[in-house]
Amino acid sequence: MGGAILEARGAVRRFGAQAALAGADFALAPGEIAALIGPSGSGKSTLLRVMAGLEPLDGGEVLERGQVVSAPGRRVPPERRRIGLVFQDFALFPHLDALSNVAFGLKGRADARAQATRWLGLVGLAAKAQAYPHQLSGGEQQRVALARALAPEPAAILLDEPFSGLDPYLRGELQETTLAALRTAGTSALLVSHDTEEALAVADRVAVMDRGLVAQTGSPQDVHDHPVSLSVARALGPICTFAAQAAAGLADSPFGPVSTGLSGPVTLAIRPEAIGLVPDAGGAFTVTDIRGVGLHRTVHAVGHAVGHTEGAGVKLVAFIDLPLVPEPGARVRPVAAPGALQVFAG
Amino acid sequence: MSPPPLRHWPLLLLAGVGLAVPLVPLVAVALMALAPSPDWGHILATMLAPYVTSTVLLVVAGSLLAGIAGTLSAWAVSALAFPGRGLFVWALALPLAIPPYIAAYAWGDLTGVRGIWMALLVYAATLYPYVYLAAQAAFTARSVCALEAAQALGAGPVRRFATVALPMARPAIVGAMALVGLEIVSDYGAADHLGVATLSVGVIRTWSSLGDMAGAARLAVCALGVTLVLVWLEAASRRGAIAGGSSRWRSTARTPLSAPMAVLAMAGCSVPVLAGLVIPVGHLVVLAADNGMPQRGFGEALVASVVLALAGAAVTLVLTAAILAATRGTGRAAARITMLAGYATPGTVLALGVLAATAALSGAGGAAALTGSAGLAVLALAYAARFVGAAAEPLEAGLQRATRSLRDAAASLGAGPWRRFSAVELPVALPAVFAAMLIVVVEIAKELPATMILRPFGFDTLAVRAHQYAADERLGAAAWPALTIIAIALVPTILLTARLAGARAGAQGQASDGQAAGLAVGSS
Repeated sequence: MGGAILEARGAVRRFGAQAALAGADFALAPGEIAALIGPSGSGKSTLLRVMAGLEPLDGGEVLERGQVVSAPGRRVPPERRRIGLVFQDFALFPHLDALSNVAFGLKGRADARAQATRWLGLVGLAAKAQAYPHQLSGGEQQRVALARALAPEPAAILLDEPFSGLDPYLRGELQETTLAALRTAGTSALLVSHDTEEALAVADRVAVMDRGLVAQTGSPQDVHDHPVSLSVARALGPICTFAAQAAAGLADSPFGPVSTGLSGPVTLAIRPEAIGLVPDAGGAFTVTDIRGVGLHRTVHAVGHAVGHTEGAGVKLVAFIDLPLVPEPGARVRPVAAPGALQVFAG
Repeated sequence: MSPPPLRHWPLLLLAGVGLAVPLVPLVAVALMALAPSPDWGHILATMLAPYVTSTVLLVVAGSLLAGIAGTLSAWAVSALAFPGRGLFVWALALPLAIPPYIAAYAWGDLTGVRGIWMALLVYAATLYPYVYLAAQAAFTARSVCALEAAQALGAGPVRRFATVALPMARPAIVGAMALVGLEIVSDYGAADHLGVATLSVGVIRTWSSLGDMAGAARLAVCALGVTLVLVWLEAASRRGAIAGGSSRWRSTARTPLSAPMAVLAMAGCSVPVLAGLVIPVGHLVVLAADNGMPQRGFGEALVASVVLALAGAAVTLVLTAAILAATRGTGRAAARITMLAGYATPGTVLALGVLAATAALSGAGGAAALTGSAGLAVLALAYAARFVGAAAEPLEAGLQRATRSLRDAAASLGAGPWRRFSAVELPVALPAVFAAMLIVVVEIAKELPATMILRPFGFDTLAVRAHQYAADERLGAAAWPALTIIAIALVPTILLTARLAGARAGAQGQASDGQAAGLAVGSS
C-alpha cells in the first residue's frame, strides 16, 4: 500500500523455538482507525510491539512513511520514532500528576503545559490536572494515557487492549471519547483487542491474525461476511460448524443440500443469528435448551436420524428473536438465511 | 515478561562480589573447623554441652515467650476495643528499636539480676515485635472475611480467636518466631553481658581468650546448625501460608469490653511495652542524667558509627542492586538463597569467617589487625555479607514498580535511556532505595559483634563503646551511646508503624509483614 504511515512487511519474531510472528504483513493508512483481532497467542500484541519498535525483528521489516525503521539487527529506538502508545495497564507515571504525565512527551516546548492542559480538556479531564494516577478512576487513567499519547502529535498511535479491565458500562462511553479524540487529532490508530465486537464497532478496517500471520484484512462488514478461512470465521464470533462430504459440487447439511463448488470433505459454517428454527412435527431437530433473557434467546437443538442421516447427533445453536422461540422439546426444521452458509475445504 | 538481565561485565563483576561475600566467610569457617584445634578436647569435655544447652533453651523458650506476647497483644489491638488501643497499636511495635544488648545493660543494672532467666526476659521483651507485626498483619488483612463469617455463625471473640484467627495466622506467627530464634542465636552482646555462655559467646571466648581459631570455628559450625534448623522452619512456614483473603486492609468491628476487662487488656498490652521500651529506656535516661555530659570520645564514636554505617550501606546497596540487575529466574532464586545465608549467619560466625578468610588471603598467621582503608573495606564487605538480604526485599519491590510498560511508555514519548532512568525509573524506585538505605544504616549502627572484632584501629563505634563501658560496669557512661543508638533505630521503626497505620486506613495496603520484619533484621 503506497503512502502508509506505518507498515510491517513479512515481520518475523521468534521467542525461542516459537514464532510469534511468522511473516505478518500489515499497513496502516493515514487517518484510519484499524484493529488487530484474533485468538490469544495469534501474535496481535507482538505485531503491535514490533511496529512500535519495542520489540526487535527476526525477519522482514517495519517502515514508517516509507523509511525502514526496523529490520533484523537494526532498529530505530521507540524514542526516536513518532509513534504514540496506550498500554493495557495505562502505564501512567505514578510520581507525576495528570498534567505532568501529559506534558512528559512535550519536553522542550515552551507551551508544554498549555498544550497538556488543552489535551486534558479534550478528554474531559481539565478538572483533574493536579490529581495523581492513584487518585483517578480506571476510566480517567485511560483517558489521561490517551491524552499523553496524543499530545506530542505522533504520526500514529497504537493501543494495546485499551478498554479491557474497565467496567463494562464505562467501555461504551470510553470508546466514544477515544474515537472522538482520535478523529479530532486526525491521528492514524491501530488497536489490539481480544473483544471482537468492540473491534468491529470501533475500527474502519480490521486485520484478523492467525498463527503469526495476518490472515485477512478488510472492512468489518466484509471480513465478517466473507471470511477467507474457518479460523478467521471463528475469530469473528460464535459460529456453528458441520462436517460434510461433498460430491459433484453438492453436500448434505441440516439445512438441506448445499452447493459447495468443490468435492471431498468440507466444513459448513453458519452464524447462530443466521439460523431460523421452524416448528415442524417432522423436523430433524429437537430443542434441548433455551438460555438467556430479553429479546434474543440462545436455543440449543440436537439432530436425529430422520431424513438426512448426516443430521444424527449434530448440535446446533441459534440466536432467535423472542416471538419465534420454539418450546423446549419441540421438533424443529432449521433454515439458513440466504447466503449465510459458508463452505470451507477440509 | 521481565526484561532480560543486564550483561555488562562491570555489573556482573559486582554481582559476583555481592554473591561471593556472604559465602566466603562460611567456607572459611568450614575449612578452619577442619584444622587441628589445640583446645578442642577441653572444650568438648567441659564447654560444648553448656554452650549448646543454653543456646537451644534460649532459642526455644525465647521464641515461645515472644510468640505468646506478640500474638496476644496483636489479637487484643486488632479484635478488642478498649481505651488507648490506638496508642498501643503503635507503641507495641517500638521495642523493635531496642537492641537486646542495650536492654540487657538496663535490666541488668536495674535489677542486679543476671543469668539465663534475665536473658530470656530481655530477648522476649525486645524481639516480640517481630511476632506482633506479623500476627497483626495476618489478623487485620487476611482473615477479615472468615472472621465475619464466624461472627455471623455465632462465635464469640474467644472462639473466633482460637478456631479461626489463630489457625489462619499460624504460618505467619511461626515464621516470625523462627526469626526471633535467629536473632537469639545471633546475639552476642546481651548473652555476654548477662553472663550466659551461648554458642555465640563461646565462639568469641575461644578465639580471643584461648586463641584457638579452629576450636572457635567448630563452635561456629554448631551455631550454624541451629541456624539451619530455624531457616528451614521459617521457609516451611511460608509454604504453609494461607493465600487469598482480601488484599485490602479493612478494619472489622472490634468487640467492646466491659470496664474490668478493658483494664485487663490495657494492663496486658502495657507489659511488653514497659518491659521492652519504657523501663529500659527510662533507666538509661536516669543513668545518663546522673552521669552528666557524655564521656569524651562520644563525638568520635558517633562519627565512627555514621562513617561505618554510610560506607557499609553504600557498599551493600550497590552490591544488592548489581545482584538484582544481573539475575532473573533461577539465577535470582539462587541469589536469594545466598543472600538469606548471609542474613542468617550469626555476627560472631561471620566475623570469625572474615578473619579466617583475610588471614588466608594475606598469608599472615592468625588475626593480624586490619588497619586503615583495607580494614574499612573488609568491614564494609562484612556488613554487605550480613545485610544484602535485608536490602534486597525493599529494593526489589521498588524496582518492580518501575515496570516494563512504564519504560516503554517513556520511550514512546521520546525519552532516551538517560531521561527514562532519571525522570521515570529513579523517581519511581527512589522511596524503596531510601527505605533500603535506612534499614541497612540502622542495622549497621546496631551491629555489635562483627564491628567489635573487625573494626579498624580508631573506629570505636557507639555500639562498641556502649559494650565496653557496660563490660566495665560503667553503665552511666554506656547510657549515652546506648540512647543514641536507640534514637537512630527509632526513626525507621516509627516510619514503619506510621505506614502500617496509614495502610490500615484503606488507601494502599502495600506494607507486607516481610518488610516489617526486614526493618529489624539482625539486631545482634
